[in-house]
Amino acid sequence: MGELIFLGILAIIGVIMFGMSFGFQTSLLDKSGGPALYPRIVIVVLVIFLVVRCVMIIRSQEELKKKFHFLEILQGSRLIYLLLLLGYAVIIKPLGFVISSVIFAVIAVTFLHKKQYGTFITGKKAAVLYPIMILSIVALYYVFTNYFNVLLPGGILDF
Amino acid sequence: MEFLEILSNVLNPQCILLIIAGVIIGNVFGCIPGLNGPIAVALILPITFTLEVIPSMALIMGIYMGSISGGLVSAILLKIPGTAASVATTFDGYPMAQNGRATDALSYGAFASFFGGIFSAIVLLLLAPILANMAIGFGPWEFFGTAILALSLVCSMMKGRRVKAFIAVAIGLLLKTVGMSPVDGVAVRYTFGNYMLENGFNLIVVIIGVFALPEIIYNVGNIHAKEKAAKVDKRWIFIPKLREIKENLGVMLQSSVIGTVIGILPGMGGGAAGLISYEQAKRTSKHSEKFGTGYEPGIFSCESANNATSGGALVPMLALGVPGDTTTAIIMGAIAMQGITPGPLLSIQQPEVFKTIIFIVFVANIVLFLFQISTIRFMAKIIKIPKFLLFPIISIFCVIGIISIRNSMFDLFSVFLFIVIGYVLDKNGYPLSPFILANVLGNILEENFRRAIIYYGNFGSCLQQVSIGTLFFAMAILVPILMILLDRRKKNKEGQQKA
Repeated sequence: MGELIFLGILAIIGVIMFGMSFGFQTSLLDKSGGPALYPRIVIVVLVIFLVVRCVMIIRSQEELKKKFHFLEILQGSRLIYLLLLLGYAVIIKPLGFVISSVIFAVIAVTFLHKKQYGTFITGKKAAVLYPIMILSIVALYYVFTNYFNVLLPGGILDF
Repeated sequence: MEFLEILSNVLNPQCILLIIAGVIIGNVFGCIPGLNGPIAVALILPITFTLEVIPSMALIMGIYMGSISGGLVSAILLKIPGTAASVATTFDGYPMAQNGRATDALSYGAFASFFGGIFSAIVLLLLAPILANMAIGFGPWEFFGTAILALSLVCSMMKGRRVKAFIAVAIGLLLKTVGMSPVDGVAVRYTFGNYMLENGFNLIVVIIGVFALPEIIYNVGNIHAKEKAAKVDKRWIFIPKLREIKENLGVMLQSSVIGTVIGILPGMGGGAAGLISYEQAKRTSKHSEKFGTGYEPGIFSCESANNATSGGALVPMLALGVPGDTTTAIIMGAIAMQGITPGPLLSIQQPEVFKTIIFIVFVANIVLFLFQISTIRFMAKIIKIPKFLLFPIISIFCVIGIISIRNSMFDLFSVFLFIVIGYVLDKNGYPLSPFILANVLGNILEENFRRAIIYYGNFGSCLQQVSIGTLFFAMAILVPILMILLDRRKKNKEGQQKA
């Protein structure tokens, strides 16, 4: 059933995009069929295959009972990691690459260690791991900005 | 003179170091389950922006060759194929490791990979220039035909999921229409007024969003799983005995041919090559009952086949501008970012680049072999890197990869759209390689389709041309229909036999 909903959403998006194609600006000199022709063909092909897939699902009990994988990305540890990534994306510009990456790495590593081994990182392991992590991120920033000319956000440190 | 120039292009310290670096990175990504070649190439793309064409190709080809072969380590030691290409390696590699012969299994795999890689590189060297010469006379209609045939073949080969593959292709093509319309350059499509979308979604954002991050997020849910690897001897050189090589030469040759041919066909890749050649080796063996129990030809067959796909997949990419698998699709994107268009014109306009890339493939295979036979015992340790460290590190590299394109926060947020798309498609059996291929070929397809219409007046006139483009277009429609009919016939026969 979940897949049918997914296919339905795709079909609706396709129809909306088909409708939007009527608003594309067209050059008077263009003799290639216009900018709308190709997307329309793709949408028609997409909808045909969506219909075929829907029929295949409806005709098969096995397919109808199959679990649709989507919601698990929004549950448990996967959701937490996804939110961590989202948070990382939000803070990277204002705080800069180094600070935001350190925050992300510390939280992510702590969380995943707890998930993998059932305990937090403590004692000697923490004293070694966290400083190495921070130094590695600073080194990464230095190497990418200085040697590979990659513009990473400087943020509040602005170095 | 030309050969000397190519030699000096490749055999200089910078290039050799980059090939070695690429092989190491590729091997590491290949041997860690959950990571693979496309992810490694996508993450390394920002670094290639700062390099010239040849050095960047050295790095990327090293990764490509290394990642395919790297999968054998975890396949043999953990029974978990590091990449899809190594699935068949688990059949005999793991039982051999369990019988206390892990070192032998790894050395067989390394040698077979080398054999397959070099074999396909020779085919690439011989076939790519011929194909490119044939394609020199191609016009827009022929290029359109080639691109649509490639997409159709990719979907047709996905047995049991053809309709899903076509849906994935259509989604990819539709996403590629976002931004400025090609040919006319007037219409801005589906941007909702956002100027960041005028150039469409960047290929790196799509690849990282669809391939790398969903895999990490999915694996976060299974992170508690603990793997116990078989032990590897502390040897310095891992190489099979001459007798073993002689005994398995026929199997390796047969599998390399299968692998190269499968590599040339778009969409099938190393996984299918390994499985098909394994079955073929089993069928033609006098001791087929030994397969699956840790039998040497089992490892030699699939490892030579999966590495042979690499050279095969590069043939259509270099000669026609049509990638043979997902990694070559990304490589094609990387070459395009260097301002070079792979395809028949490359061999005319920049023959030294064309030939140097082929030569790099040879060197990368040799470096890979030397690296593997001397470091396999260390690679066995890499698969033990704890995931709680690995996932955040890769996530940070993904972020660097996305930001490095144009320092855009929009790209960083749009990657979440592709995480969802990638997750939903992949986990519900919609293959990702047709989706990526559609993203790579989308522009080529539309541009040549519209140029062909301008040239011939309308689509009907295009179809009336006696040209290879018309033949390819017809094949693009007929091949999937034929495949479906053949499958149905086979199914009906099986049903009748059961009844």
